Amino acid sequence: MTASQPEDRRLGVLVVDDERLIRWSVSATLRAAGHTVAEADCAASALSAVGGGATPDVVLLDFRMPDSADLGLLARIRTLLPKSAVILMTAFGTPDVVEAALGLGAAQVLNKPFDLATLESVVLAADAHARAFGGA
Amino acid sequence: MSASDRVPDTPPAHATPSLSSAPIEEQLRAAEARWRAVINSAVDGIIVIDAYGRIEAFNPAAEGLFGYTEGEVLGLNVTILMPSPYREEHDTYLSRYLETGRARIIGIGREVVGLRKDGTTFPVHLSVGEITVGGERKFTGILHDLSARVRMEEQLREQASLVRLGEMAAVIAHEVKNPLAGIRGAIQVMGGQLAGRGADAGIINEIIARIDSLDQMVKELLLFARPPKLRLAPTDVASLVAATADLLAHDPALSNVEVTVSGSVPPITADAELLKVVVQNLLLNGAHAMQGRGCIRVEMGLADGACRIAVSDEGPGIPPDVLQKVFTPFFTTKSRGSGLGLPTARRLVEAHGGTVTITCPPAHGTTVVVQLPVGG
Repeated sequence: MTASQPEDRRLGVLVVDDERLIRWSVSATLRAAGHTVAEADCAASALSAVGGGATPDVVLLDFRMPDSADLGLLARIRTLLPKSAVILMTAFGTPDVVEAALGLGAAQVLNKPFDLATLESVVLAADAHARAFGGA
Repeated sequence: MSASDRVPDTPPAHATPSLSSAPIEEQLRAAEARWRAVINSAVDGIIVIDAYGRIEAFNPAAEGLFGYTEGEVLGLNVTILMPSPYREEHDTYLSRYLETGRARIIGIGREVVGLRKDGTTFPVHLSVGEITVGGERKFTGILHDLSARVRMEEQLREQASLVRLGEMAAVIAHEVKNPLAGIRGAIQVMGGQLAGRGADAGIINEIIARIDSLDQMVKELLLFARPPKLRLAPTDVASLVAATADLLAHDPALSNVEVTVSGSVPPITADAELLKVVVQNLLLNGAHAMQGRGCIRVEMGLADGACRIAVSDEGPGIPPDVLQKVFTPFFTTKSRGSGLGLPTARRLVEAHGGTVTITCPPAHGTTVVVQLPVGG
């Protein structure tokens, strides 16, 4: 069985952000490219979605939300979904935060505002990497 | 022991010669010389004026404070040493005191502003005592320079406001950048949906560009308000400068700006990312000064064991009154811009233990010199 090329994959994506416009624009962009996108607007609803059985290939995770003040949510999701790629989105990505996030297994840290034109390739690349290297 | 056994008292060694031993003139001269020495050696300025405000005495410290020699000021009204409004008020103060005995400063002292011969002003503490000499009333002013203290207070105030700014930064980052990101994303998607209609597509791009410049403004503010911790490593300054100059070459707005880089320095211990920001800010400033056209010279070398980077532009130069303010945060002479380029560059350089100085040769142009310790 040949491995499917990154461009062919239809991904399941979970986008977690308290900013509605970000959820909307990320979802619209990725859905237009053929992917399935679920949304969560806070840490609690993200965790209950995952707890309820959701297994997204890629999670786009906002760094700071009303009920999430640190990288604890990232760590939690990495534990619950070891095979998924988690991309951290942040408005204030200092080198310390970036280092810590990558250390916790984030596939990438995206600085907001980011360009939606490149979002799909970023997401596909993170997914390809996660599948190639397992739940590392 | 009886009274008759007492040894006559011998005078202590420091006693003045007994009054009976030297001619009066000599004693007076000696006394006068002693008091004059006190006045001349005083660190604070001592000025004596008559009841009309005319200067009768002006000690060397006062000469140093004000930039006049005693000869230049004797007989002149003391108000020449005061800027407005003190100058206009002084004659009134003096005459009112002489009439009413109501003291505002006499016997008290307060902070005033002095006016030097060269036209500059400085804060000074003035205390005034009254004397009567030969039946005439005179006033003695002691002037203590407060410049250093005022400077230090200003520095403390600035530091305090920078700390507050830093605290604001995290809030700004979240509360401004997040909505900006949301707006940008949504507009980008809707713009894609409008792709067919030419004019609107252009407006969409313009909206995105304006959002990006808002974001850039926030980034500059954040970098200035909360400079990141230094991540020091051996840094090849020459290639860093060349790479930054190269980046500018790719900016279409700066296509008519040429950057020449010369000289060399050994690697220094520095934070390369932050140094890039410094060099970038200086190059951009130079480019703007030249209205986007001309040549910027970057010269690198070792000076007194420190790494020296000089960035010179061919622009009009900076007038002296503006030069004082260019490192003030948010000060700008441009119609746009944050006014944070130079203050940020200086903060980042000083975080490395270095200095930033600006000079403008009389003809034209501006040279900014960054000095950085080699060892970090």
